[in-house]
Amino acid sequence: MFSGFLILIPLLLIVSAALAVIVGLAVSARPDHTLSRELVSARRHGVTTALVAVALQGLGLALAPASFSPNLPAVMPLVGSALALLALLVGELTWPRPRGTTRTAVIRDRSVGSLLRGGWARTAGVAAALLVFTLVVGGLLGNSSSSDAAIATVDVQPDGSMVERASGPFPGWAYGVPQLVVLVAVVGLLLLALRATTDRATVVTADLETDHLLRRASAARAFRTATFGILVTAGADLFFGGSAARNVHDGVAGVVALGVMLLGLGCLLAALVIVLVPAPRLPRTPVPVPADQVST
Amino acid sequence: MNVSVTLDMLAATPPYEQVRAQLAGHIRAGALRPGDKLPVVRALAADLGVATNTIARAYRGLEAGGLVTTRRRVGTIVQAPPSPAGPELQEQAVLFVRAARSAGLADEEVVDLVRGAMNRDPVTAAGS
Repeated sequence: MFSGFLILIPLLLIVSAALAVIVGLAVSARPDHTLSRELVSARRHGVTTALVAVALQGLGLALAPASFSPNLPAVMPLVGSALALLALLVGELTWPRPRGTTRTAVIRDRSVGSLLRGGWARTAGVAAALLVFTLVVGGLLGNSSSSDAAIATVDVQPDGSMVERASGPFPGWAYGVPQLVVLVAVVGLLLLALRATTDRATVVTADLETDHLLRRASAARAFRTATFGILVTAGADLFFGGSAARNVHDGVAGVVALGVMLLGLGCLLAALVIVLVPAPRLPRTPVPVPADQVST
Repeated sequence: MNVSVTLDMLAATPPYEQVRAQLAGHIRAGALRPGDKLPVVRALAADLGVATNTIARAYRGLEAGGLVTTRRRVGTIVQAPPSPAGPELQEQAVLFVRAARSAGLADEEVVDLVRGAMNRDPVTAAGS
């Protein structure tokens, strides 16, 4: 009963925060009538692809417990991210499409590099580095005689015999290798989505600033999708790995294992917080644009 | 100042030639200067809603004319300096184009008019 409340309270807090963010975004959004038809369409496209991506991400998480292989749940958050990134990639490749008999393009070099700067990219990089570090260390430590998905210590008994104490699940190579493979796929899809975001056509009637903002918003959605899956995976690995290590180690090692468990919970919490951070949005009041920056 | 390219899909001039001619004009007029980087083929093709081959052909035309150079991993860079024509001559060109457009001439007709004038001036034609 008490443990049920312990789980329920953080969930209620997260749901409340999510509702507050959604209401805040809706209230502070720039009204449609102040935007051109193309920008309204751009905003709808962004929201739609983001919702599809969230649904696919959620599907990945929901399928994790129902997976047919014992190791599969460990990769499902990353698989969900990969599916969501695929949806975002398709969204960027299929929109917008220039129409009309007269078309204008501003001659300006765009590069993926401009989207790889900023907080979203740094967060994704740190999360990916943490996951790789966790999996490599877990792979090196997970070495019980029966399974490399467990951690073990050998106790010497008073009679001189040796007894192995093993505990799992532990992120050894049995979990680590599939996760690393899917992580590579996620990073590849993220880079493809960013390249598609860079190369896609400019939204007609969008000035240079607005166009760049729309691209940064798309990039933020891609980074957020990847980071969520990576942090959930790293958080679960750290939590279960720390928990397994605590079962077999005492003393300082046990304290370190407890710290690893708490770091894992922190990662899971950070993943939920990242989902609630909105992508860049059109400013509530239109920014006056110099006449020579208005594309037709 | 923003440099742009406008494509008329109904014009008799093929799209790749429209892109090439307008970019060449920007380079000659100094709006695009040596060292400036042109957009990657995919991005400009997406902006104009044409095939990447169309833009690649326009860039090849500029390269053949010595106006740009394409380097692997760097992209397409403007290499030709602006036309040696001074600002006065360029201003006269702008005034001429403005007058011709005000008279109702299409851009292709304006170019034909210039070509006609060049053919009718045997002195400078012989010297070129």
